Amino acid sequence: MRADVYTILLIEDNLGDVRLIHECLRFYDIRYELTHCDTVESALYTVNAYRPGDAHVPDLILLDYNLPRGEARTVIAAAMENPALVHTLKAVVTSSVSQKDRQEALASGADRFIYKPADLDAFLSEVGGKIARLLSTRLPLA
Amino acid sequence: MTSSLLKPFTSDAPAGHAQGRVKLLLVDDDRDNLLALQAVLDPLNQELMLAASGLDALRLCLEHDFAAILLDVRMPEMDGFETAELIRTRRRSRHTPILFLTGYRSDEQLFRGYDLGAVDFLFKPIVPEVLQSKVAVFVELCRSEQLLRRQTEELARAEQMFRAVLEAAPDAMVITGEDGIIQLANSRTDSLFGYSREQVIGLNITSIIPAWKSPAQDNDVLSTNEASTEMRVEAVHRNGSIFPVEITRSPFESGGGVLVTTAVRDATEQVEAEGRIRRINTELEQRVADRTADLTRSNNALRQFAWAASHDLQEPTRMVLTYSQWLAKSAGGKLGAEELEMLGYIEGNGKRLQTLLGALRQYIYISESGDEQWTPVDCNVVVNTALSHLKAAMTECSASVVCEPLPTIHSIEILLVQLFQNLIGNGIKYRSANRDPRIRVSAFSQDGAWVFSVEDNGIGIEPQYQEYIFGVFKRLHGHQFSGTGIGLAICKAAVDRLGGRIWVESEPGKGSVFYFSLPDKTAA
Repeated sequence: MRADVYTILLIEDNLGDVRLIHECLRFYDIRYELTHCDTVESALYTVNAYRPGDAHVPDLILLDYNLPRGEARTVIAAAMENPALVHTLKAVVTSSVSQKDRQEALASGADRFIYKPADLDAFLSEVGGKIARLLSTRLPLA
Repeated sequence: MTSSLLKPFTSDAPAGHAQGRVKLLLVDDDRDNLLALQAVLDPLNQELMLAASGLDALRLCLEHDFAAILLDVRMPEMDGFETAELIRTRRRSRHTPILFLTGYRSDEQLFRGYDLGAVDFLFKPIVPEVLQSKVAVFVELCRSEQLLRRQTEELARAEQMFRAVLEAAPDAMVITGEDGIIQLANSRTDSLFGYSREQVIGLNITSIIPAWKSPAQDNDVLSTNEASTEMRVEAVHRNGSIFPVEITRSPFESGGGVLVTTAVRDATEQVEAEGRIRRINTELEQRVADRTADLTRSNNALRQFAWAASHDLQEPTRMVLTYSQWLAKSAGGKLGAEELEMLGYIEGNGKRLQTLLGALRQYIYISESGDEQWTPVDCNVVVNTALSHLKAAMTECSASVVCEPLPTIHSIEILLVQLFQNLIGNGIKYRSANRDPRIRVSAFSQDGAWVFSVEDNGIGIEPQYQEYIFGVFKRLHGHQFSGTGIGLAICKAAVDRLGGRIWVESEPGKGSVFYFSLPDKTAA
């Protein structure tokens, strides 16, 4: 695997958003390898399965905060508890404008709270820009 | 001696004395004697009746009551003793005192006379003073008797009235001594307690009303200083059943000491009625509580639904919007003008849906924001903040806003900002095509409240819509005026939250004045 390829775990139940995230990453010329979980169960399974030293430990977990039944917090908690993910960046993505959601997400240990605007251009610059800045702080783990 | 009947006549005494006068019968066959007697007794000033024979005397005795009869013993046909004997047989005159007038003092006569009921003998020649004083005694005696009789009659009548009142009373009336022993009771008492009158008299009242106490011993009554206070107690029927009564006790002094009248009213129906009223009240309260709980539940459910809808519709709306834009961008070159127009509608309506959802979230937020943000708020600052948010819109149509000095009130600042922003914003948005918008903000104090007004010179509102416009998503205009139809609903929600009232006065074509009143809490 090449040194400048980032490993990303995307937990998102809306396929439209998955497509948009891909577009953002391409828009910012980010080289990446993406694993996608579209249910809370598969996300928990994946997150819990990482072991220290694994080749595919993600550099970034992008988590949709609007997962059904408020389970996003469970997933963040699992990621925080797994020692294999101690160096992994965790970002919460949401279309919620609620101040409360933002505070809760950050309190659970997320590194960033990224708002999804409705406008396409705004989405690309806001979501893509924040992911790009986050990743630019470091080299890929692998 | 003739038996001619002398017409009875009355002596001419002054008429005013007629009232207390009694009748005296003088019987003598000798007219001169009669006249002499009459002359002697005249000064007594009583009604004198004269009879010249025993027969006449008997006849008069049938028709009159006499205080005394003066009877000559020696008369022809029927002598004094025979006459007296017959007088005695008449019921009316059986006890009338008879004084015999006689010339002889013989023991035989005396015995016979006393046997016949004579009370005295007067021996001829008559000594006027003796006759006068003896007759005066009988006159006095008769008067006393008459008085006594009258008093007895009056007493009897009074007692009859008393008993009639007692019997007619709707309550059982029981008169006892202070010891509680029943001395008198009316028939209602018998029927209420199931005793006969004879059984009731002599019974202690505590055996039918156990809680009864003489008012003198009852500290409760004494302390209220009102002996005849009504109280609800239990009563015991002869058959042992217990029922509620209301009693009123009134003590009164009588010759034999203090007696107590106790009025007893059957309170069974009243207690049942009270019970029914209590039950109905309880049921009503329960129903109100249930209804309130139902409403609260459904209200909460609606609120949750509105909240969920405004948040959960956001995702799909965003997708529609974003992908319509993306499609236009990536495939724009390959699409014809018609397809691009269609895409434009999708995007436009997506945006509109998004705006509406935002407004709805704001409405929910305004209606439910917490109480912790109550602070003193300078309304002048609030209006300036609102104006700074409206700067772009104001510049676009060269709107001018005049703000008169406003008070500082205890309120929630963000709600006030929203309120002024929406009202001033409306004044700008619904401006007349013919003139630049001019808006005036002012406030005045009235009846312990501040009334704020936002006056514009816009298109105005028809009277029939002046309530309607405060509803959620209520719009009067099509697309010539942009808007979510929730601005005034937000204003109403904000004013409601602040404990005030909002209304509009408007003349279509000239402008509108929006008023809202807020309780004046400046003093706090």
